[in-house]
Amino acid sequence: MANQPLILTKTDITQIHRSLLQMLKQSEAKCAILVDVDGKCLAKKGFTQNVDTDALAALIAGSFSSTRAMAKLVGEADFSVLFHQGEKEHIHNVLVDDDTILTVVFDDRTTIGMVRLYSKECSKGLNETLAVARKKRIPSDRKVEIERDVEDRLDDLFKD
Amino acid sequence: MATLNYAFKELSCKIVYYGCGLCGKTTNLEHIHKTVPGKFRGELVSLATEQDRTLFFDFLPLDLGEVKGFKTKFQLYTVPGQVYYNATRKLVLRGVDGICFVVDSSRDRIQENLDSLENLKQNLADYGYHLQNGDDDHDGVPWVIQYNKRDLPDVASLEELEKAINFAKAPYLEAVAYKGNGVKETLKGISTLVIKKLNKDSTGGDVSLPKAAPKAASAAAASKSDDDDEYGELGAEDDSKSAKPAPAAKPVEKVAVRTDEKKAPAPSPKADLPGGDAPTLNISQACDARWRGLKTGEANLTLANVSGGARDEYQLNGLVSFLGIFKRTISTKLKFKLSDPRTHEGQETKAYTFEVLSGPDGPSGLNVIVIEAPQKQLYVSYIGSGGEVKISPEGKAALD
Repeated sequence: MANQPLILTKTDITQIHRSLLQMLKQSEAKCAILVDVDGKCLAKKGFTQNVDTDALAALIAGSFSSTRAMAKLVGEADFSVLFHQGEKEHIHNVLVDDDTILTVVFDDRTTIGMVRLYSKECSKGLNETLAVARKKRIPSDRKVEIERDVEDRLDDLFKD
Repeated sequence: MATLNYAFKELSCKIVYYGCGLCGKTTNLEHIHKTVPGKFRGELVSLATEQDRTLFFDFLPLDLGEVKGFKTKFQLYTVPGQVYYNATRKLVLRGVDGICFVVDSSRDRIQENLDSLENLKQNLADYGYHLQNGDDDHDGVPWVIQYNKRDLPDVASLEELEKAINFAKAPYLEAVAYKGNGVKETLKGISTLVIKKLNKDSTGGDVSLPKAAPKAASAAAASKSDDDDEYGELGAEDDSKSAKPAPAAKPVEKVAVRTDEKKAPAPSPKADLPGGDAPTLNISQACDARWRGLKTGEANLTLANVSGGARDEYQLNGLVSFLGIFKRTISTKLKFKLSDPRTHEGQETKAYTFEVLSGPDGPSGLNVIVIEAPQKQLYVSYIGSGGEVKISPEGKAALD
């Protein structure tokens, strides 16, 4: 089925975090975010406290989707790297697999070459972890039976 | 597609508001943004034209907080309604978990609504999805219909609209979005359907994962590293646990001695407790902080078992200061992860590693190691704004 939920277990997240951290150390970038092309932030590491990672993930996914559509218009399957250069801060995006983007935010303390080199290396490891995760289904004894509670929570949120 | 993160116990779903131009999709999101208190929602991101018409999408993250141990998040999107923005409209539908189809109830706009519905079906089909058609359709994308603008004078009757639009007998609601009427109900309706669908998805499929140890599992299993339970403790019966606030860390007496270990009260038998190998710790330590190998700051750190909490839970507190100017506080809950033999300063000893449980109060990329001998020593590293910072006991080199 096309639209199965993505299940990330503790082991998956530990592996993803380890890869991201190693890449951050090697490239001396500020932070790394793993973004689903649907617009969700799957994992983040580094200095992300001052970044609205939810909004950033949605916008990166949007920009990547439109880049992919542009690629198709000129006869390419994908543009696998996307780079945004600012005055002080820069964003480097690389496709990990068809559904995931690795976003690295960095500044002038490092260079685009370093970030490109190590994020490419990192994306290979992430690709393997995610390929395994995508085959997983929720075990039937681990259902998320929270419909009723979600309704109650929404009632609470709209109270005032 | 929804994302279930069992490491952080997080559930994240994507809901898209779809409909023809000017039917009130953005108004729905604006009302939710206005009504829901700030701590439960993010900022409304709007990619709009100068005339406030949606160009790409509007985006509003909604955080329901913890529901039965799960941090539940909904990401609400709208699409541009105008016919000629179909390319971007289609992109937003990717990975959708639920759809609110917003209908402009004006009699003279019925055709536009129908065109939009056809466009929705076509765009979903391009991704291999389709709208849920009846309760037995487990593969379809759940959707609800919101008949909006019910306060207009020329509205079509509900029967007319239902007959024209609701081919699948999907749940429907009436609304006046700019006044907020029916907005919450619509969101509740679609959220419930999305969660239900998620559960149906759990049956069948390739369950290649190790099953979690049952609750009555032997103590030996419980005392192993937490990797044994890939999914953590979840489930409907877990109410009391999730509702209980985390016990406050026991204040640790500040001692002048660099490292001080107090004898713990008689430890309970290993087998009765989770994290059987978890050590009793009570470390208060003056430290050096190094950046790129240079000693640029100092720190005072304390690490102790959480008072009254599980035996394998610890609280790390501290203040790191650089060049006497920049300061950073650390207040993080840790969980015992692993005990590893290690050679330290030429001596065979045990080293303990930890998993970071609560992230927001402490620096990112936090790594904590405690070396057992010759006395318990705390080594910490984290990723700061300028790169990795390594903290070691005063006068000692950082760990590799």
